[in-house]
Amino acid sequence: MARYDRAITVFSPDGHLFQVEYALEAVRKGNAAVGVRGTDTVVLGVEKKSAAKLQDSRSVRKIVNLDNHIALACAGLKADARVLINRARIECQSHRLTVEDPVTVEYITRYIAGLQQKYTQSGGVRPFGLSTLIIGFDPYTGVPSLYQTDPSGTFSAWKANATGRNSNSIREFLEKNYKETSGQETVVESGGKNIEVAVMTKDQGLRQLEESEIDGIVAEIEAEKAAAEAAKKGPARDA
Amino acid sequence: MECVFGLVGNDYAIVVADTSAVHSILVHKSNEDKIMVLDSHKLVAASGEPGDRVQFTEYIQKNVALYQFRNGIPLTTAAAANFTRGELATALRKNPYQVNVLMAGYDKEIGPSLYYIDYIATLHKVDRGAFGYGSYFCLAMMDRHYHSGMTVEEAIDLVDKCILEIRSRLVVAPPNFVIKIVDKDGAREYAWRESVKPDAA
Repeated sequence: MARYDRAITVFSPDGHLFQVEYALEAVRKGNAAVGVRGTDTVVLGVEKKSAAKLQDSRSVRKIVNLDNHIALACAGLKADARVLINRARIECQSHRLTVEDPVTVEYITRYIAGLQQKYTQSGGVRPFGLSTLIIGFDPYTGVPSLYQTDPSGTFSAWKANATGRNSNSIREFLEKNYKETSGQETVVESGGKNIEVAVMTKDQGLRQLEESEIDGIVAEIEAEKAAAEAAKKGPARDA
Repeated sequence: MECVFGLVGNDYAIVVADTSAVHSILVHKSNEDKIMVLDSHKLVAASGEPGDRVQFTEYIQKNVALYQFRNGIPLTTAAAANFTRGELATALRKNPYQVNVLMAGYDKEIGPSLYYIDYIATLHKVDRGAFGYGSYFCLAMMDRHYHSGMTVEEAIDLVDKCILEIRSRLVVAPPNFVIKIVDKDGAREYAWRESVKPDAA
């Protein structure tokens, strides 16, 4: 057992935890995930890499339910995600069993983040290589929330956020375009064409958007963009 | 003195349970709901040691929910019944649950079903079943009047006959009963049969 006491995550002389930083690098290489919180809806979008022709795309669900009122999307090592998601689902039911109440979004986020942190301070294990975006509604007040966790185990609440590939440019876009009443359009616009989108409302839970619906929204956005471009060019020519 | 019984009809299953919570000679409350909605299309009517009854059925309920989140589809009634029996069997020679369960469910391709699971992990798929002292009267009544493919009205009539027998023939008969039904539209409460006004909630 002595071999397993050797920690993998140790401090560097200048105070860095390199393993955690390398895990963040793995996240940066992962498929983008975007989340936007509106007044009564929360939306998650995940970039889909082009489906292999022979693959059954239904078996690759990137946005998952943790409970009736909580959903999760992530960027990074998807195999690590399976482990975290399983533990979170168990915790959601365990919480219901012991305190007869559904979890709050903050509770389950804290739990997942706590798990991620544990693996940065244990012997013989490496950190989880993923950041999660967790959405949901408070079971009693009905207030929507969006939280993000990362491999270091930190978490915070957001109005809109992105993680994974190009997350910086997506976040810039979100900062420019976010309004309190934002919803699915903002997610799709920030994401691009090859995207899996799910919308959660308080009453109807999580709903995955069909490809046709996404195509519809993309078409709307392109039309809006074209109209905006035309409007810009129009007045200039007159002058 | 707890009475739990149930039967299967043409496209539904009904379970009935008494609603007295008793400790020795004292009736704590007479509106205790002993039939748990396990998920959208399953009912679990349980009788036995009160602490075990609640703890065990809630444990089963949460595990059934977890299965659904993990796998994206709900358990069939047969699978849930076998899981329940398995848990009872595992605990039996360590720390037994003293709980008898009648599990009723409706599955889309299979239709309605009823499972008899007793506290020592016996499992039987049945058309009609009963637990407790009331079973002496209910089983006799159901054997006499039950036929397969009963309508809901016929079944409720039979349920009322059983309740009448329990009330008139059992020395410490529970006064109130709850009836729940599960069919293609889901599991829900059907009616109460009260002869003593329950406590203000």
